[in-house]
Amino acid sequence: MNDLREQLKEAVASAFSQGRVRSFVCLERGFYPFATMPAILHSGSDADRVEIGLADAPLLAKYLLDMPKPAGIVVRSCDALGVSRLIRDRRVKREDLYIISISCPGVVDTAKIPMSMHRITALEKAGDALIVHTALGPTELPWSSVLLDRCLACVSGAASTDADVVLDDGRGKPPAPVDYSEIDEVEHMAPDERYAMWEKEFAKCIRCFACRNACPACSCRKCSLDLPEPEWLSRAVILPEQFMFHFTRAYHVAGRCVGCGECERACPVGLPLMKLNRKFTRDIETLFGVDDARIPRDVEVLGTFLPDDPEEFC
Amino acid sequence: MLHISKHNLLSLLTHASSSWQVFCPSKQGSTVNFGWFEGTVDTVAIPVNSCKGAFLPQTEELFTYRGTPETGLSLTGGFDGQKPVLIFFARPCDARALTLLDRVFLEGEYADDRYRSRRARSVVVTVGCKSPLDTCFCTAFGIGPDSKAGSDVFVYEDETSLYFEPLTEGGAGFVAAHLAYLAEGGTPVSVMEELRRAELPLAGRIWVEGMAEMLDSMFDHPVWEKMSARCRGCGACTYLCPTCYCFSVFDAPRGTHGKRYRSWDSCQFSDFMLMAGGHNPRPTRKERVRQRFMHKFNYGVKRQGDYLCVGCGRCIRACSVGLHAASALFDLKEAGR
Amino acid sequence: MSLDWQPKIVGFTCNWCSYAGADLAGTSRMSYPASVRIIRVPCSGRINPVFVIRAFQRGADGVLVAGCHPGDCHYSTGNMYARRRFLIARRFMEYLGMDPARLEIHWISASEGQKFQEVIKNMTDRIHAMGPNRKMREIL
Repeated sequence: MNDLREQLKEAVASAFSQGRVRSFVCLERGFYPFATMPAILHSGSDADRVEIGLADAPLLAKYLLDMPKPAGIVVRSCDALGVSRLIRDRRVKREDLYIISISCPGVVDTAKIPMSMHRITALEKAGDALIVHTALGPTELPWSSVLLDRCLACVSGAASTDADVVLDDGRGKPPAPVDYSEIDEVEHMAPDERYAMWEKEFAKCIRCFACRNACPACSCRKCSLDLPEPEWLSRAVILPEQFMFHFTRAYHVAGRCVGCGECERACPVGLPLMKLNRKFTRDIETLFGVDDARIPRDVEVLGTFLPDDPEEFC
Repeated sequence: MLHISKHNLLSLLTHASSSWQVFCPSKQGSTVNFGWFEGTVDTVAIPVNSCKGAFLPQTEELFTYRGTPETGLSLTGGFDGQKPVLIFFARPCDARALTLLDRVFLEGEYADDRYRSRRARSVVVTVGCKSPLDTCFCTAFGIGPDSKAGSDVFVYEDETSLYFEPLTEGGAGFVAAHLAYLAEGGTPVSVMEELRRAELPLAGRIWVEGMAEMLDSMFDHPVWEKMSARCRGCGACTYLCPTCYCFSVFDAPRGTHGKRYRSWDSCQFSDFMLMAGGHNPRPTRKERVRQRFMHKFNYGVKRQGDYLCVGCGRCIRACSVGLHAASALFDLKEAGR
Repeated sequence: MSLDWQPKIVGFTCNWCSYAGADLAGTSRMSYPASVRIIRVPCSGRINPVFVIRAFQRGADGVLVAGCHPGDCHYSTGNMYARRRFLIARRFMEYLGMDPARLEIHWISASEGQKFQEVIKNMTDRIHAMGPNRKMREIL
């Protein structure tokens, strides 16, 4: 791990010294020493701040939008999909980017560390375990039990190959099998039961737009949901508007969602947003014969058609 | 001191809900949230949202109108007296935050009718914080796990029981109304002691002494640029904050009738300050992030006489990129040196 | 539900085929229930599924989306995109708990006045039997 970090620091520093980038987005140590937060660097001398991100690592792709170009970015495979999304959506140009991809063993979700273990002083990965250091001493937790939900559906922990520098220490998490059982569960509910479930979930939503703002597929400069006129969505947090919001958000990223789950991670009230996004992903895969709809393509699934698409309407 | 066994708490709340609107934390899916009592209560976790929604609902209808200038206009649905609000298990930070909201909505030239009416007969029951989270830093603002400011009843919790200490007339009234559920006897001395000694992990890192004065000269400081660079511009921090109170009023016209609503709004939204003519005085995240923290740590002190932050740590838990009151206080302190 | 309750159906029809089909039904004096309120759009490809949600929000009991038959689009392919969109959007509505029978998608050409009449009649009957829609609906 440390080796990878050293290599990464060097790669970032040399991106600056070779004049390849004017800015660089990466992770750095957060307010809590065991967590990381995004950092936008403007000089190679800042490269020492670069961290790999063991826990609570936010995805960075979307920061590219506002950065001075050429811009550098460190990506794990999930973030690489987000970058690819922005390129396919023509929001950034590949030639304006300097991508360093790293392998990733998964990222710890500190919310999954039992409350009894709070007062964390440090976190450490040791083989298949996470060692939680607290004032009371270290405790070991199984690595897979503390990973972010998105890691449980990981495309691949190996470093993405569409990059200017590939740093792979061979310890990337193996791809997770695709599992749509939670979608099946919802589908098997009775319609009214399903409606009641979503009603309950959406009632929690405070409409802070954290999901939208975290999403690499939601990159419109001006969101239609923010426009005062025509008013597609009012500020009223009432159920019809909640359905409107969640339908619109999920439909807008249908066929473009990369499955990174950053929306769900950003949601402060814990809405199961991926249950919405993945319904579209699955339907697109089955209806239009797309293999793994999370992977951005040059032609959007909903931006094209086949003459022999399923005909259900008459 | 009067006390109740934890097993009987639900029956007390059920009884209370016949004459009070009970606002309490309960488990909602994967999180614990404050909300109107629906038969369950969670007394362990600190909820993700604050209890301000009991007095300033996220969205409330002000009135419904009907008619045209020709036929005449009729308004319906004003605010009428509802059952008084009972906050059950605020934390000391929550109770203190309510006193800050009071200054905004009750004091000065204009008092807010609805807020006043809900607040007037309310009872705030606060529980002493035996296990503060890693995100708690209330002590920076002179609050602590056993602070009683803003509370009507203070509750000490031991393994089996909850001990009620009425602090105000309203609190005494609430306790008197539920004597059937309460037993006399005992003082939870060890719990009181425990609360006094409780340590907050962030206490040593957060510093507010002189912050307001320091910020007077930091409006144009480059630190705002640095801090806001990672902001995603959502409103999670403001909506979950117990002391943020901004709202907007808007209409939902539907032909010859419609409603007027009032909803929370957030200074972090790009359209918050957008003028009708298209001008936006806070065009980028830098101005918006600065506004949030200047309001908390500078304007608030000037206008309301105190920091508009109680160190509850909700923004720490809410923010997906680690931009919150604690990190801001830390960064500002470094920058202002 | 009162006995004389009639459903409200919002019909999004494309200018070139389905709207003309409705027009033909009218000029041919074919009667069909007055339950449908038609909104003319340039092409079925213009119909954002969000329009459908908005219709339900504002009081529709059923929504009809109608366009040219695949292959006959005035803009050659607009309806092919619409077909993809509504295949997934309709499933998603169902996933949220809406009754998918409240949203019907039909291909109605300019010469199919009779088909338009039948679609409206059948849809009105079905939705009449289902009763008013309460899901996603605002109370105002």
